Amino acid sequence: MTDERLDFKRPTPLAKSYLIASSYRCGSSYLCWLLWKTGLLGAPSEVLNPTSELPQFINRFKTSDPSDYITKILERRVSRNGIFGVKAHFHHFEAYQKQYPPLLKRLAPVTYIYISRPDKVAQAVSMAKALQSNRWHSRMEGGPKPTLHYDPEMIANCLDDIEEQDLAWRRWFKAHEVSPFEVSYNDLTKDAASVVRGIVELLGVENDEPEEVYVPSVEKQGDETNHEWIERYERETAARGGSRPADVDTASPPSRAKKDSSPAPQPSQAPAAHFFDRHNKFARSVPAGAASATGFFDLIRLRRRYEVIVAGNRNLFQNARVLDVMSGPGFWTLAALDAGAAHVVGVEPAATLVDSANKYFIKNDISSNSYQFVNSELFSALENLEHEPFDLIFCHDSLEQLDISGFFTHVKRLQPKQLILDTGMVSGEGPLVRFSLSVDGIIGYPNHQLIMFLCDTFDFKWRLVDWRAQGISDWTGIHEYERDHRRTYILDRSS
Amino acid sequence: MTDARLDFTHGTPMRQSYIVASSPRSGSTYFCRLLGQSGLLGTPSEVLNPGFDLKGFKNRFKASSPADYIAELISRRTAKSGVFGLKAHFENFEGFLKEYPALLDVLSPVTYIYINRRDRVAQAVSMARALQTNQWSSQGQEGKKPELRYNRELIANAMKEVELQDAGWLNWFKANNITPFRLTYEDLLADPAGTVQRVVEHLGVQDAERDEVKVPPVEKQGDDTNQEWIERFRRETEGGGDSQLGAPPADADSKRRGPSDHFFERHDRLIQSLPKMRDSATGFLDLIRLRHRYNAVIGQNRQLLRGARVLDLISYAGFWSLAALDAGAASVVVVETSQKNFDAARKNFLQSQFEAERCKLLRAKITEVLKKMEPKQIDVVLCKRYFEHCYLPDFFSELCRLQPKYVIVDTKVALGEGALCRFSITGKAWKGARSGKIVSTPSHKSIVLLCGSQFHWRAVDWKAMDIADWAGIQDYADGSHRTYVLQQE
Repeated sequence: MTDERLDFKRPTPLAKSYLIASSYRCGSSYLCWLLWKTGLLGAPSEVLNPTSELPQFINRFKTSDPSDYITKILERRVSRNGIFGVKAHFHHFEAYQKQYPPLLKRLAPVTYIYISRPDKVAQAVSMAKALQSNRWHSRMEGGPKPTLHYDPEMIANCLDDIEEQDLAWRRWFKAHEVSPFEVSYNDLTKDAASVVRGIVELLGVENDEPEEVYVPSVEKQGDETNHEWIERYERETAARGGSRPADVDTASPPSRAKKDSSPAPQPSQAPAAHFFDRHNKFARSVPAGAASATGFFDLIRLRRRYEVIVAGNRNLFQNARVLDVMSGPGFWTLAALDAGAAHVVGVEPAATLVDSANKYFIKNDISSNSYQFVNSELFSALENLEHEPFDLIFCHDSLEQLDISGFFTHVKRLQPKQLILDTGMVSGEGPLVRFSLSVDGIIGYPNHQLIMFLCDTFDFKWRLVDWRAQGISDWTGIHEYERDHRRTYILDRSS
Repeated sequence: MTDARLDFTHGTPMRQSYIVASSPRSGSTYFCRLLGQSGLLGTPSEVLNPGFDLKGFKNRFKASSPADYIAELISRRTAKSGVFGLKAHFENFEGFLKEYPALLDVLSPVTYIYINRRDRVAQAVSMARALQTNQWSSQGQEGKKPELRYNRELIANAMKEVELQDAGWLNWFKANNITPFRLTYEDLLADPAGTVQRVVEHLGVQDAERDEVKVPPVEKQGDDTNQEWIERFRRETEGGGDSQLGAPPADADSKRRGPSDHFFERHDRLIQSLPKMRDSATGFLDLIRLRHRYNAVIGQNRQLLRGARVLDLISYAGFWSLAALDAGAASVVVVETSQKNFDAARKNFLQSQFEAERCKLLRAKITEVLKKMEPKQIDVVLCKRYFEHCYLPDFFSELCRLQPKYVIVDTKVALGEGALCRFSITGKAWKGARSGKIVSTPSHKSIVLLCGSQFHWRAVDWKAMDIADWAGIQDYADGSHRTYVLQQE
């Protein structure tokens, strides 16, 4: 959708725009395709979605500045009659507007089209399926069929998420006194032509000359599985008298095979409940990846990463003095302490995050002797920490934002026994990073050869945490690890 | 030659060694292959040349010191006859010996085999040709034939270079009371088998057990072109016509401005005093290269530099800053990261005709200097080779903040698809030693991505610079080194 061949041939000044207010799996991609095809209604797509089009466009335009970004989008995606269309789920719209308050002024006058799907269970099933398979539209299909599991808790979570997405739009319309043009998924499947005609008339472009456009087609994804899951979910819910499938206040742990080799909890300090259950709210406060409105999806991902990276490596944390690189809100710091670390130093450049971490730790009576947050730019902190002995350096989310060789130079000086590096990976021959633009600026992912090169240069031995050997059958939220686009390395100091 | 398949596995202890004392284009590579094929004399190659076999072997062995390195070599490359051999040009030998003074004790007893070429002109022509094509042996000869041009100055410089290398060996032999076993290229060509046999007998291993050695063959590279150039050079320099050493190559910049007007002539003393960069005994290649780079970085950008406040990141003993002032810059701030370079730059500034207040010299980390500067304090940033030594996303965010009108960049460029940055180690790094430095070389796409919407980039077109002879600057011809001008949008 972000391909330059889909741009309109020449820039046209914006006359008016429309925004399709949507939720996941409500038929909005199909609607956009139909509208785009008319040649009268711009090229509606999810230009504000930070998990799909937004980063692609940012890299194409080579700018992460929002004002510049909107200018570049408008230069290319306004049809000859001056119309610009955009589709957004509420949480993406809200996040972008927060980052760039003049958004709506730039697009004015804006007509709102609100699309929703009356059958919420069907919609939730569709979303659960997309999350499990990581296939959000027909163009992402192909290759081996992903294994799908009926998971009633996940469907319940999706149901909540979709309801939240719908409601958020309604609340916003009310607060801004907007009466949107409403479209139902059912109308769209019954008589798409009249829905499209309605929107053409709504925007008053029926007499304009249509532009010739080519748009990749969008096909319906639903199949037998959807029907099975919908029926089963409804049957089971009815049997429970309408209540939720289980107490799913938190996301469920990944379905993993019980293995004898899994580390036995230390009896002396065996916690009563799972770390995530004891610190549920805290886990929820970890900045989300914008993949869901209620954040449940981010929570699933976080919990699964916690299970493999921390719980699966408890022995590395046991009595260790740990350095948490870019500790953010302190979640991983706490996880490290909970896994048995003797002391953790978290380094974080953002003062607000350090504040909130400190507050949470104090409120939860975490012994102040066991942790310290350093509010500083990373490398200068590492310089100042030189005389502090660390057993383990824990880098869970930030390698791509760092000067990697500079980081290793500092790490070498700190002489930790071990490092945990959890990072996105790229391919390529010879040690390298690949740069790309994100909303936060330039990031660079390493390839495996670079990790080997750095280990060789700085005297570490690397090994991989084998995500595939964890008995994970449902990769929801962690598809990156399944596809080897993200890895967890453990580095041991050679001498 | 560094291939593991050429290693011996019998682990015979070394009883004696020999060093083929050579100069460039003396036929020594051909000679060494013949020695190798005898099966009695190991696999002699340029194991002390940091730009060549030394690099390959070092990476393979992961040697942690020169001692470790030589020990590895001896254990893998000593023939069944107990002979270990290597070949070295004098500057590489001298350089390695400085780093590892025990070398000759470890190799003892050492026999020196000195090879030179009677026909100096032929040797110089061969070297000039290799410099132009960047093909130093027949193994590198593939693909399209590079364009060759007769260049009298280049040949004359090559001759001087070869003479200096020979002299290096001869002086060293004299100083150390060594009488080498002497050979000439001409003898070798006349009787290859006999020459090898003489060496075998000289080392007394004619009756030793032979190894089976599969060294790749080497062919003679010279052809009709060599003969033509040799004759022409002889004709042109006949009658005592000195070959005008150090004469500049003709180039667009000097043609336009008149030869005596060129910065290089007016600042001859500065130019001659610059520290050596490359592996050549006379440094003539450095000068050829520097002059072309000067033309691309300064000559092509005079109008940007006129009246500009310039920030020069690493000045090469003040050279680039003085060149910028000479081109009309209003003032220069120079950042030098080492005391040695700082002192050299200061000396050259003091000796220059420019007012002291126009040059501000700082000895500091570049990142620290950038951090302290105010926006719009600088019009032009001169950035030569710094890209590889910095973390580019951080450097660009500083550039965005400082808002220079132009950034002139001269940098190595990595090959490969997409916005990537390739990592390697430079310097004489022995594993675990601190002397090696990690550098990361960006691809063209990376530079474009980093420029983003803040800078508009254009590449200085080297191909349009009227360069007749690409000796010393092949990397600019093949796009692995480039000059960019980034302009603030």
